[in-house]
Amino acid sequence: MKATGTRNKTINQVLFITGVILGWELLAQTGWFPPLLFPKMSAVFIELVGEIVRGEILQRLAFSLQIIGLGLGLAVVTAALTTTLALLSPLVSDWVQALMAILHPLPGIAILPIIILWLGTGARSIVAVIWFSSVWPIIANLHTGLRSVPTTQIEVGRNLGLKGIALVRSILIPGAFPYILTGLRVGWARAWQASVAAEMVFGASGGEGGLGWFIYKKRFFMEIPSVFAGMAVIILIGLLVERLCFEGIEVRTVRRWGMTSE
Amino acid sequence: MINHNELVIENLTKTFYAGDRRINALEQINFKVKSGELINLIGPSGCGKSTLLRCIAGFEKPTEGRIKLNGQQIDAPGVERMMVFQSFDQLFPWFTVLENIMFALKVTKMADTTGKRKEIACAYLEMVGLAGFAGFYPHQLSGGMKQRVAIARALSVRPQLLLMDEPFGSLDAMTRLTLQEELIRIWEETKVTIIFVTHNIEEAIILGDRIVVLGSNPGRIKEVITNKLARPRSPESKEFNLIWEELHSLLGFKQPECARAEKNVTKLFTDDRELSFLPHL
Repeated sequence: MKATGTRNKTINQVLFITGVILGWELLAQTGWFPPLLFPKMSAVFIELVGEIVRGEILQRLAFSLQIIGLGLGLAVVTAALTTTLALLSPLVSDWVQALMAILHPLPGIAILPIIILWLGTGARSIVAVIWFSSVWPIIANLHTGLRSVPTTQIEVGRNLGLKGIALVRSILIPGAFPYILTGLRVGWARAWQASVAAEMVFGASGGEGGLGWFIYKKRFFMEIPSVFAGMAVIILIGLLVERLCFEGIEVRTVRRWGMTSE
Repeated sequence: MINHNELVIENLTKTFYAGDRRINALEQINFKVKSGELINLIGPSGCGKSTLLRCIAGFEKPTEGRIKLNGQQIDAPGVERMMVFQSFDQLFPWFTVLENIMFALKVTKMADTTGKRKEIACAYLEMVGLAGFAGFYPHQLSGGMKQRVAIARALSVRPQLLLMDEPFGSLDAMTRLTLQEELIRIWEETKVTIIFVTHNIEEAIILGDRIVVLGSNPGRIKEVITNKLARPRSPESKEFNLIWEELHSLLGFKQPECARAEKNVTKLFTDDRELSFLPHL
């Protein structure tokens, strides 16, 4: 019953997306719109394959993933340290909450002008923007997650003689895991957005750059099918990471443990 | 040394502050528990019976007085005093039933190899009648089964004292009766000392060797009733009913809370009458 339900949903969604792509192709075939601005889907696909064969798009992708990994990694470390300190001292906890309230609403890209002044226009600045964009949602989720662990479970841990780091590691972190996973998901999405946005503002130095820079450059030369090809790669990576990585982890952990509210 | 006084509570007082209001949760509690006894703590809600249990567990610090186990003063939680809670979320959801017990054995260093831990965990699961559910995750179990696992986990680390804070309080009546019977059997098998908090009079009579009746605000020991009825105890019997009536009168009548509630009702009523000059009333 449940299995057929999910299969129908997937088929339904795939059919819908195929329909949209075909509709796009047909609309473009009519020639009502200038092909330069509204290219055919087939042209986008051919260009995507071409870019992959030529290798540039893969290089750009690798660069993007590298700086996102760096920014996100730094954000996770920062969040872990901050939350640990907040856990140890109520004073720090107040500070973190104040910082979060002030800085969370600020889009990462808004700090770019200042970051350019401080760090220049290089990969470092992009990493900084990625870090800033993803660190707040990760801290917020970690903070909430650790506080959501039932008191009884913590007391069972204390009863068994656990305290300090051992208590955090074996009770609080697994207990907060649903929130930690959500934090990483949001952080990852924010990191992508930030990296693409940042590269579009100042491109990249020394011919280095990621997918944001790739799309920006292709637009500059009016190679519009390639612009769409760049977007397609971002979408594909997003889907792939969600399906293979996050969903895989979710099924093996949170859902198996019955810790979701579905 | 059987029947020596294992747990000694001396002049225990616990005071809370709710805003600027002082609440005497426990006042001058003096009590001794013998090794292997099954004690019930009963009292109206808010009388401090859970607080007393949490003081013994070491989760709360007494404001005054002391608690000694085998002559040693208690000042922190310890594995020789295992608590079983009322709430169904006391099992770790990320571990299976078996892993929950194995985890307890591991962190308390009760067994040094995984094989040994598994063996002990299985034995305790068998004792609570859940041998077939070792691989289940807590969310796949019913409330009664979860409480059984919690009891198995607490006993697996071989505590001297099993502290039970209304463990059957959220169960339906049928499951509750079954688990009461099982607890008696387990207690007779393991000879562990049990302090069992409840607000259910029948439960207290079915289980306890002695029933400690607490009054509320201030939380003081009102009476200690020795219950010598032969087990299994039937609520039908005359002796059962005599104890029931005694407990009922100790608990049910002229509690300070009731008296206060009565006063409030009268006050409400007066207020109502004062408003009656309004035309639509």
